[in-house]
Amino acid sequence: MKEQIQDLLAQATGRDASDFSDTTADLYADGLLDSMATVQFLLSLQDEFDIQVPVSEFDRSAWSSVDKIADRVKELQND
Amino acid sequence: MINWFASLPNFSAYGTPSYFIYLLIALVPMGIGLYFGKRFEWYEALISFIFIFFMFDGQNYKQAASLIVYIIYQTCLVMWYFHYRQKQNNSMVFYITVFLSLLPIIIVKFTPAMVGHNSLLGFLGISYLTFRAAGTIIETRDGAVKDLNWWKFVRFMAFMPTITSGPIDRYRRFSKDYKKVPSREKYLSLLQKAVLYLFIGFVYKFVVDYFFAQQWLPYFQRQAMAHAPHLSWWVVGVAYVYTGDLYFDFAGYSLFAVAISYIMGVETPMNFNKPFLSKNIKEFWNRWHMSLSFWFRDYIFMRFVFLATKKRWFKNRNVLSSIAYMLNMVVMGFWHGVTWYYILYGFLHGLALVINDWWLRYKRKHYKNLKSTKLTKFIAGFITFNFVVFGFLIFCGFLNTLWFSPAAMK
Amino acid sequence: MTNKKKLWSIFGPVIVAALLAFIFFCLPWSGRHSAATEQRAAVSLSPTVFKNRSLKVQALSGRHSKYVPFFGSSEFNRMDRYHPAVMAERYHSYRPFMFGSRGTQSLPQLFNMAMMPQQMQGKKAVYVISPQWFVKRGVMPSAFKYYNGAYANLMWLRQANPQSAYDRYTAKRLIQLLGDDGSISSYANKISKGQSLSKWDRWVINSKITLLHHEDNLFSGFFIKDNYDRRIKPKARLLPEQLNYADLTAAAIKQHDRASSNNNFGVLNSFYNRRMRGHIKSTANSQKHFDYTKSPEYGDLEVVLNQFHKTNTNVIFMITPVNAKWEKHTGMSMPMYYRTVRKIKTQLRSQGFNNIVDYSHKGNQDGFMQDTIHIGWAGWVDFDRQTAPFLEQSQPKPKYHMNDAFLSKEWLNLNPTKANLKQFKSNHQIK
Repeated sequence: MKEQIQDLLAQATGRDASDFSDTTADLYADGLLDSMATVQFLLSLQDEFDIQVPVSEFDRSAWSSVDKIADRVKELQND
Repeated sequence: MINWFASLPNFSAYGTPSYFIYLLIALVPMGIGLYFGKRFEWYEALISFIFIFFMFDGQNYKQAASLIVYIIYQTCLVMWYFHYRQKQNNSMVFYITVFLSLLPIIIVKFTPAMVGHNSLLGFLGISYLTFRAAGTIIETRDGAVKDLNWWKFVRFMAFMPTITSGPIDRYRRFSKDYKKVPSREKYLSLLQKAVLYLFIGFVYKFVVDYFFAQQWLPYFQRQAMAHAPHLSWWVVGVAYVYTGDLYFDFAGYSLFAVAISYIMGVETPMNFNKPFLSKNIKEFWNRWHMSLSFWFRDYIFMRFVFLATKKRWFKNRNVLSSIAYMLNMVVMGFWHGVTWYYILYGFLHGLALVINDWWLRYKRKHYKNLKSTKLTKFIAGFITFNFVVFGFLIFCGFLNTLWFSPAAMK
Repeated sequence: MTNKKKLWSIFGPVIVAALLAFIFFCLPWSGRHSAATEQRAAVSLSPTVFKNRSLKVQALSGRHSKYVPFFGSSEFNRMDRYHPAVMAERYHSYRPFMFGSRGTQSLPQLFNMAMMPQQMQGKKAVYVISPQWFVKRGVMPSAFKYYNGAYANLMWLRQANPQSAYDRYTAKRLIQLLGDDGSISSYANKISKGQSLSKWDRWVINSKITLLHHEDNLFSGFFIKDNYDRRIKPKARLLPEQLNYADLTAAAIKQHDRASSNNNFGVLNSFYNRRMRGHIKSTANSQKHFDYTKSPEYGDLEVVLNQFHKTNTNVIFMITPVNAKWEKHTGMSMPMYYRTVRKIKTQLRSQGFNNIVDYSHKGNQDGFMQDTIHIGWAGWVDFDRQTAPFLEQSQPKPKYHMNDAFLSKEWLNLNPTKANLKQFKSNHQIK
């Protein structure tokens, strides 16, 4: 799943998937992800994993690394 | 009655050093309560009421009436929408509710431009309260707000430390803090931060800003006005000094508001994070007046992008992001007030964000090997800082005075 | 760390610091300043001296103080060798203590005076009036705030009398200019409505004054601009030993011509370079619409006159000229200027203020002006010739008879034609 997430991130930001190889790195602090890319990424997540993420629920600190994103996706899938 | 009310002394929030003495003494029983794991709700309500009362009494009594009516209005609106949303979710109803929530501030902001005097509806802090109410409605629609209690909502709207000028909190965050009492460990660390913030705030607002606001700004303004309506180098001085004044005044105030919130056991978000060290304009907006720019980011920018992407309004994502930036910043300009300089300020910052994005893309494509060194960081920071200063020169309205109404020099 | 220790580590330093600060400000620090500090303060023209008390009160206290208060505005900063302070240093027994910078018009001066009524009681003073003050809106709020402080306001409030039309007027102006600032404006609001301050108000005002007094004693001796050693003392040596006004005037005209060689306005070269060069075209006819005849400044002047009346101060007034060549260029109406001066003089004379040096017609005299609106060189020489005898020789006691009609809207907005002035006087039984 993490590889899928890395691919989606790469798509949303126009970068290489290798930029996201560190699954603990803080995506916002490192400037890899901005608001624009976040929205695109969220939308692609919704399609890919068939989950609903309202923008309101999107708390940056809970979605700030590949690992954390994977956790959130799992949670939402189990809901 | 009104006479009596108008003749009472008025204490604006954090206005003088002695204000803190009264405020802190009043907060002592609350602090002791929190330390021992109890939140004295009624005492807190009473203290908040008294201090808000003294912010709006005296000559400001008309504002006090507006404030009360405004809070009742917004509370009714938000409560009604919450109940409606439990059963139905019609987009039109949502848009109308948001519009009704924004209606007072729209009237207040457009009145001076239309009829030339301030609206009677206005009061100090209306913009900040609007953000809180509108944000709550939007999150209710998303289904994120799961319980809404009118008393808690009123307390959220009229939270004394932040009522007049923010920072802008969110209902869900606030009510989470408010439901629980922080552990003793946690509360002690909050108190420690509060003391630190208060003292940094004193230095900012009562020491450093004294020089900017009382000594340097009037001096540079007078020198610049001597050349009115022509530009002179003094105007450049006004720009830098005003920037310093705005920062130390507002950052100082925000530190006070956060510190007092902490003492009351509520972790109000911070507003500033060394904004002048930003390396680009996007970073600047992540460090300057953060609670405002995050509000705009979350409720305007992201929602617009979300909608536009979903509905495929734009083919090119760069066009989409540019339009979203412009929309975001121009709306922010209008929020400050309907004058040419606020709107131009918003427009320029929107444009700067667009250019900044373009440059980052361009750099990634063509200068892949450009290393980030101390020098490049310095140049980036230098350009950003000076652009920001230029923006504030427009924002402060001094050019308006210089060019169009030299006699109205305030 | 236990929680108790933690609490102490958070609040201990704060409590200790607060105690120390409290003790520090409550100690009755002596505010004695050295004679050298006095000397510097007298010509520093700085807001610190203007807004605080200890320096001016010390200098002007005592029957034998050599300092005489000079109230005015930006002209005092024109420190050439004939400046009153230089002339006094060289030739006279008195020393001017100068209160004046750009923007210190009548109302700021009133609050300045309200801090030292005992020091002015029965003494002499010089008051320089610039017609340029009398613009339609009166003193600019920003300038007023710059020279106004809580100390002066509180001292004024403490002695304000709600029964007096003068004090009610001042209170109203104070609110207008300061805006609603919380404390001062609420007291001023009571006075303006004719209500007395309560005992509690007085207690608060007095305790604030006490703190400000200590603060003043502690700090106001520092940061004073040293004009005395830099711009006054060295110039005194340039003057001849014997005072001869005719010789001084001739020398002053010569120096004026040399120092204003780069322009046709008779303006100091450096002033021309800094402020006028490049703006000549755009300033042509730019002052056609100037009008000083209607202004709240007339009311502000009236409360200052009333203050002189209260302290029984014997005042000599000077009314400043404008550079005639400059006014011709900017198109300002001289008849309007003369009408303004007539209105000012009517207000002064009819209330018994008869010592008036009127320079309004001197704007084209050789060497009289230093720049566009400020006198210098020969102007300062003549100023000294007129004021020094008044200050050095004993004068008959003045008899002032105030009339609060000069505070009325009718007066502030009166177009001062001869007929209108006559009508106004007869309406209000003014001689």
